[in-house]
Amino acid sequence: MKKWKQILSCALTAILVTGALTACTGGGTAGTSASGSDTPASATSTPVESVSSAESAPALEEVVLTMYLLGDRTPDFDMVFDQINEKMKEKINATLDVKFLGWGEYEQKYPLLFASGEDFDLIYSADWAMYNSQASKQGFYEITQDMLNTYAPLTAASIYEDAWEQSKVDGKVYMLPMNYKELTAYVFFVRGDLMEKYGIDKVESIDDIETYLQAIADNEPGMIPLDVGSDFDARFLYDLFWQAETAGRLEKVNPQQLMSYIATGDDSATVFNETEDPAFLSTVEKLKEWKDRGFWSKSAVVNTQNNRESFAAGKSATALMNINNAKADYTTLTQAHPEWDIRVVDAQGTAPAIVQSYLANGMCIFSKSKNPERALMALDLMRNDEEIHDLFSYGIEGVHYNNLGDGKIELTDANENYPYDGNCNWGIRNDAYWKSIAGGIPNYDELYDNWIKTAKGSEYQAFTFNNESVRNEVAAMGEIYTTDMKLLYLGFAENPEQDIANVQTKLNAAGMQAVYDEMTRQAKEWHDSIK
Amino acid sequence: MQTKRKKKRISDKTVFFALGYGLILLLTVFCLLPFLLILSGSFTEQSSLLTDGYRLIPKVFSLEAYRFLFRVPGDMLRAYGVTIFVTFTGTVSSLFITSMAAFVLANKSFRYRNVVSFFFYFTTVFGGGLVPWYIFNIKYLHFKNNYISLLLPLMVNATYLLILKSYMKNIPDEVYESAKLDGAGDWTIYWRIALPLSKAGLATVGLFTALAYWNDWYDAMLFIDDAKMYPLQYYLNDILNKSQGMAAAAAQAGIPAAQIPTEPVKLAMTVIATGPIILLYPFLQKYFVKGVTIGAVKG
Amino acid sequence: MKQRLLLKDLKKNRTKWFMILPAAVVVILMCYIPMSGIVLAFKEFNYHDGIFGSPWAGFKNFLFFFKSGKAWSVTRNTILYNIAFLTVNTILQVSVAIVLSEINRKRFKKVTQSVMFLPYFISWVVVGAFIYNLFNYEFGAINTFLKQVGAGTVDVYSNPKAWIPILILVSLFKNIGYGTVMYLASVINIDPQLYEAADVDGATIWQKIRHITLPGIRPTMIILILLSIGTIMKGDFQMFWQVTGNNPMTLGVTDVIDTYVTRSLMYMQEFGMTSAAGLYQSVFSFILILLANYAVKKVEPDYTLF
Repeated sequence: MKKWKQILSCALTAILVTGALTACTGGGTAGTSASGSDTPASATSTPVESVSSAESAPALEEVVLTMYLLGDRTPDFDMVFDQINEKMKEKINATLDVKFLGWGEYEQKYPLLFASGEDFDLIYSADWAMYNSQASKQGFYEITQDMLNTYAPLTAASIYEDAWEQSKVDGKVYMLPMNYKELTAYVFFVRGDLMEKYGIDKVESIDDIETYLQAIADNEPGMIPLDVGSDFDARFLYDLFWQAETAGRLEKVNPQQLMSYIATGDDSATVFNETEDPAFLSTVEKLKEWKDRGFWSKSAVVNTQNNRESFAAGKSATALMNINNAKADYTTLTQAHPEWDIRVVDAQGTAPAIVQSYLANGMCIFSKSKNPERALMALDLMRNDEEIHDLFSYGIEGVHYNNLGDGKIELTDANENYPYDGNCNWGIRNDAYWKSIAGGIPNYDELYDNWIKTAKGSEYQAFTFNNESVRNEVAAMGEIYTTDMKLLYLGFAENPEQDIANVQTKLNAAGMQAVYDEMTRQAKEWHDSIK
Repeated sequence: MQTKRKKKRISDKTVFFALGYGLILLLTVFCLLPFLLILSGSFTEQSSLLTDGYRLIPKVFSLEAYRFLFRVPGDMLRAYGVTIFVTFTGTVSSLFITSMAAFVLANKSFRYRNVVSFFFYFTTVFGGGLVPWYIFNIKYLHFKNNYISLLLPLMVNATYLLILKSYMKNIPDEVYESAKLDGAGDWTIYWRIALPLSKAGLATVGLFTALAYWNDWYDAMLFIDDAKMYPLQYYLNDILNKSQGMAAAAAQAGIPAAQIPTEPVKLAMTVIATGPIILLYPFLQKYFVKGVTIGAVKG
Repeated sequence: MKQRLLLKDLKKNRTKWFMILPAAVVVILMCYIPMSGIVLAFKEFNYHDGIFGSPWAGFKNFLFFFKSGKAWSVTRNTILYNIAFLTVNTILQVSVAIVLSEINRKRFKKVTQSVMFLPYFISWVVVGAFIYNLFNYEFGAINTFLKQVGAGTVDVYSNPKAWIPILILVSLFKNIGYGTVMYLASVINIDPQLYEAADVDGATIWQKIRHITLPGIRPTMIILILLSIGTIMKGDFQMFWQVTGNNPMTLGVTDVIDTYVTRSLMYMQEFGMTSAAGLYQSVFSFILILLANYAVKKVEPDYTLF
């Protein structure tokens, strides 16, 4: 196995070299002695004109690959991509023409790109951005292990095994997920000046936070202690409380809006609803208590400002966010309000930090791409060629950032024209080349060390549910998730026990059992397959 | 008897005008107050807007929202230009096309008027949905980065067509009859008689069409990629959506996101987009004065 | 026979047909051809096979709408709100149009008319932010005021009943200027000789309104009401979504078909299901409008839509 992988990559290099030298000879029979006719590439039988398989090995025709990213073209984007394209052209005789789908509209336009069959090759995707729905509707090009070996040998050698497994939908891979382990952990921002005012000398645990919030609720009528409730943060506290109660006992099954869990170690993979676990009641009761004590607004369910905005505006005394946002906010807020004396508090408590699914960011090839192989080759370079990876992720060294060594960089003033890690490069992030910004949250290292010790992902993180046969039930459950469940997540319950029973009745009427039966079947199959 | 009736008439008028002025003033305040709050809010600092709410006079004055929206003034001006061009071209062609059809459909001598009216009306009830519409426009009408994509979708609105038809029905048949006797053809009657007689109707429908073009950002969102071709509303929406969408995505994927003054920006957008078009309205109002149309011709 | 008649008419009235042609072409391109996409409602769509090639799904795409038992309540809400909006807006728009037509002060008229048009430009997002700033429990303008005068506070967001008048007022706010123009254009088309004759007879202003103005604008009213019936199954999605803040606590009275469908399909890209919900609305509206148009035809054959 390993051996022919090597042979193949040699062969490929040969093609690449000839391709670069004799560009545009197209269709010729340049006689690179490839490794026999049993090359896996021929088995994929993709009828594509140029580099279709190693055996015929024609020179690489020049192609322009169209790549869609999410977000906006930053001012220096084209400048950076000129450099990337120079390298790309040299290596695989392809250049990238990048187009953007704006943040406000990608949800609408993304599916339309696929539906109208527009001519493009590569697109950013993620479990939160269309991956499942497009993949199950045959929107993406399937990437087989053989293809990977042939056209993306560097990725084949470097991709984390779990990452590859996770991207499977019904056993097929349609994405190259980021090769980057990311922790999701939450922190509170609290204000030192307010702590001092109310004689609170330390805020380190959830109990301390409770004391702090109570002090604000009692003494600061002009403030909302913690202004949660927007779509961004409605679930944050619930998640923390719930995870503290269930970590190590329950395994979450995606997608979130189906509220499904499997007991840890249950080989039958029986899926059940989170409300059925006793911890749900106690969590909702605790949230209700906090809400009734005025820790967040009585109008929280219609809040449109997220708690970061409120905190920054001085309207609330606490903010709760994931560590990535915290890093960004800490710097700006300490500059704007040094008098607040912001402290960063670990919000995880006993709940372990979560290892993000690799699918949180990734790149896919369009199913109707005219050059899927070359697109894969381009991806391979973006992910694994250090120069290209760094250009895409951080911009031009010396212009947008300075390398401090040891995986640390410092940003220059010009960085805002090509913000660090801010150009939808997330799909090609690679741990091997990752660099972080020096400075920032003072106790960051300490926090991180704590998290990394216990961090874990759900056993079923890599499992992807195909909802094709129960779409109507899934829609009905999603509706309940956005309404009744949202109220419970924010502690809006008159009588928790009764309210939970009501939601359960609704879920049953919506056909929850049919969904979970199907999910159990698929989860078990998947579970058995990875044994 | 005579004096009594006169007295009563005066008091009737007084009551009517007292009620009338009362109603109009009430509604005016009801409509004006929020706008003033928006205007003031757009000049307020974000943090003050969040904590102090909307006030008639900004508590912490700030130009940050306008500075944010006007950071590239040239782009904003160009967006205004695109919008004015699209609104003008679109409204004129739409009025022309729609009024011709409405004229024919209002004409009792046109045998198929109900069938054709139904043909137009049907489109207001049934639609194929976004996806087929998008595919057809992109593939066959080449809408991508083409001003036609901003003009054509709003060109014929069946609702306005039928409203215009009902206004045109007010023109008495004898006007047409006499023109016909004078040997005028359909086109002449339309151009020389029907159009001048339906100025109020045309002004109304023209106004609505112009507003629809002015406010349209959806078609631009779907079909225009080239930032140089952005119309105003889309340009503004795009600035705001960018930052809001980014923040939402940031929550999911561990993407760093900067914060912007979203609240005042929303309000400033309203102000920027309302200004010019509201100035147009007083010019149209001369068409809404009693007795300028039919009476004039008849008399 | 019928065909022959049509051909003859096409020839005889060719100018008229030519005058309809441009509008018809636009409508065919923009509406009728894409309308074939309605089949999506009955398809299990995938990109590979496209709209027409995807496998048939029968009525499966419609099921989600009826699954949670909310179909009836959201349909009822949609219709009732539209009736309420139509009634309140029509009465006030007609009143304002009549008053404005009677008033002679030019400057006053210009200013008030323009001001009443302002809300049309305020996007629903901003209206929503406004409402939130009014009714927010802790910071809202209303509760701040109530606290200042020493009265208790109100929690509007947990009180479903409050939203019926709020939504009606908001709809009035947005549409008053817009609708008034339409009736104004109709009022001023009334033959002034009729008023002169009434003056000679010594009619009061109320009598003139009742016997001349209102009958004069009746055709416009009928056509506008008929047009509204055609959209009675569609709520103004943005309005309901933004103004109520998609508040789960008041859905019983604020949920309409469009908001319900949006929430259900929020996490899915199901073109077929979206299409199915749209078709349900269209068919229902279509039946209503056929009935209404038929009724008008019986009474006032001149005022029908088609």
